[in-house]
Amino acid sequence: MSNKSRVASLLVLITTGFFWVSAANAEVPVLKWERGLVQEVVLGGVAATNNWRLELQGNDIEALKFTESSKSKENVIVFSVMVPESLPIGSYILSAIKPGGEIKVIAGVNLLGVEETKSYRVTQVPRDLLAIIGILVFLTGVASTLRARKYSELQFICTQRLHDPFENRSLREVLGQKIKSAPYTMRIKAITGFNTSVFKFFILREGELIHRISPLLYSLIPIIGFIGGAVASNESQKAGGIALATLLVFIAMALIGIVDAFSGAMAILGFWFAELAAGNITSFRDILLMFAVAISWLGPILAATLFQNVLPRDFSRLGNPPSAIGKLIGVLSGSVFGASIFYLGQKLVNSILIEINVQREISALALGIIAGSLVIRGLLDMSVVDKAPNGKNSDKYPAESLSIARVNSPQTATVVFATVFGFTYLWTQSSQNSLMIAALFSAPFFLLLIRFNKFRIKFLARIPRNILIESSLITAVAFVIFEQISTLPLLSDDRATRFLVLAGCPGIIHAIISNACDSASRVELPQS
Amino acid sequence: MKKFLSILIVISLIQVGISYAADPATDLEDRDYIFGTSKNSDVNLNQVLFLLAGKDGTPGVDGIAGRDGIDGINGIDGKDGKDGKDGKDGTPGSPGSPGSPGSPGKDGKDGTEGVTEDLRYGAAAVTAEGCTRTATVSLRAQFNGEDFVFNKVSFSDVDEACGTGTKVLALYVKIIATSANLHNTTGSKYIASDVLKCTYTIPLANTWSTGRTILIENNNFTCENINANRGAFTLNDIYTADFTNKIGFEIYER
Repeated sequence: MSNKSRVASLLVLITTGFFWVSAANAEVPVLKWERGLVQEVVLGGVAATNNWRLELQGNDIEALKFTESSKSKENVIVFSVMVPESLPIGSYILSAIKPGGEIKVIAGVNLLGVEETKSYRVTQVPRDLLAIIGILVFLTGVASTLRARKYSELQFICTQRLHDPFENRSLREVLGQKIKSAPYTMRIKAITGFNTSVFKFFILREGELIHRISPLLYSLIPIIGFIGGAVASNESQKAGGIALATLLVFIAMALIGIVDAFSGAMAILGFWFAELAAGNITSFRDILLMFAVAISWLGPILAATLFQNVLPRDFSRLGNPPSAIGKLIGVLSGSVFGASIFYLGQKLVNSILIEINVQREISALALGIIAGSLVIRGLLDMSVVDKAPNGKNSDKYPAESLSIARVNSPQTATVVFATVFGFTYLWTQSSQNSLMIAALFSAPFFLLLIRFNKFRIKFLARIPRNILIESSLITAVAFVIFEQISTLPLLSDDRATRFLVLAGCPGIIHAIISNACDSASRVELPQS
Repeated sequence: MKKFLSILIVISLIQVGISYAADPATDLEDRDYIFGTSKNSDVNLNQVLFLLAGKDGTPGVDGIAGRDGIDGINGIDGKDGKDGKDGKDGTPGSPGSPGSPGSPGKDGKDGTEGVTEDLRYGAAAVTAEGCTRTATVSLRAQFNGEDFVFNKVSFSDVDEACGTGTKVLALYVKIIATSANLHNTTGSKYIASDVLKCTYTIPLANTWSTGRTILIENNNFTCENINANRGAFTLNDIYTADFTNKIGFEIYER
């Protein structure tokens, strides 16, 4: 430390020391603040009318300037500042600077660290909240657009043996073979047990690559996934909880899901089972935690494969096979989308953790690993799954196809409602607000169940649909809403609640438009 | 898988219920219990300051003047004053003595080979009345690095009578009248319009070269300035550009 900065530190200490004395005498309040959160000060009266500015000073730091909201009807202004986690713990002063330059100390601040407080409130970290809601809005847009006719037919050549070859034979005759192929049969039965749905189709499709590489690996990897999930749970417990477990465990499990989606699902079940067996699930919060973990492990591959399958259609004429460039764009966009779903899952985990001793920051490296793995997976799909299998029996394999009659089921929409309600309730502590937010965010999924059979508007029928542009557009609207709300004279919790409510609106409007376009398209262009 | 998931959900819900029932203190409406205890449901540590600032008050009445303070201690000595202005320049000093001559310059490059021809000045056959009736005088020049100077003198067709006894050959050179045109200006043995005399004792005739020729090298001449005593010098102290193209000579008995 140079002499100059020593002197500066000394001056700050002296000033602070005098300040505490004067604070006691003049009854200047002393606030407790935590780092890594947005902190606020509400000023009214002369302070609001005379354009005061606020700064957090002390501890030899460059003064943190507060941003001010617009003025409310009650003539108050909310000043807010994001206190970085890197700020030294200690005492600071809150200075109001009048237009003439006169500085007035209005409060003292005792800055606490996250290590001490063990708290992370997503509503007080607007950047994180925006990321979570932005991805959720994008996801809603994707689901709403997916109902368009151009995306309704999904298909791939399936080499997986979906029917039991020993069906009509006696057990004595085929017992040995049955035992040998038990893992394979169990996997197939588990998948075929699902109703026909987009989820089932993608689980099946994402197993095709590993099946073509090795049917034996295809049979065994779900078992590895299940054990891996249980091990991940055990590692988390050994570390002292999920909050303290290294992110590497979660990345590894997500990578298993990227290799084989079904194995990723099995890893989630293994994790859940182990958590349950260890007695760690004692509240609805813990069940929501399992949902969040499931999103980060299974979501990336499902999101990526969705884009990989539907996005190329935006780059080719209806009925024509997708171009190589379209496929490549699908792979790259899907990888980014998948990585963002991983980010969403991890942020959701963070937002509801009970004991958080460290903020589980998701590094760019972690996201890069996920995105890179998804790119590799997508390129392998392009070169293996998208082509007919080689060999003498290459023509016997059926083309597994799915015509999307509806994107999701009522059960899925209900699960979305319940999940959004659960998370937002934990964030806002308000059942009324949470119900409204859950209704707004799940409404697009309920709207996907509705179609109007007598909706005759040619204009709507001919609107070209583009899943990427439409989803990006409504996400951009959500960002604009966030920006607008940021200037309102509200405290961060109120801002968060208002943002959560309003951010659901673009998704609903888009879902209604998408519904109208789809209904009109099916009435007006039945043959195309 | 579907069944296994359903079982997990059911067991999880049962476990939530068991945990609820196992805690007698749990209130039916205890939402913290249902959603787990967390810092989120604890009292928020972060405090928000609400400040309603009033108008600035009017200044108070001036206070009573305080007593005079104790005299202050003496101040610290002042800093040194600034330096004075520079004095006027002194009178110029006397000129220094001339420097010693510079060392000779490097030799120039060899010139291209010239035609075989002697550079002769005042070459003439003259009728001599004394010991010889005729004599041909040839003056040869040499470049000394700066200019051409006389190098040697050749007397040919001289009667052998001049090679008897002690006879002296005297050579007279007239210097040009314009000082500005003089080439030899530094440490010269002559000035404009001077007459120089270079003498040489003729050797005996039996030592002469073929053709009755006497070849005299420049350092064999002893030269002097007739107009003023400037010390002895040799023939190559005379620049060829400085003479008037008139040379006189005489042979006399010493």
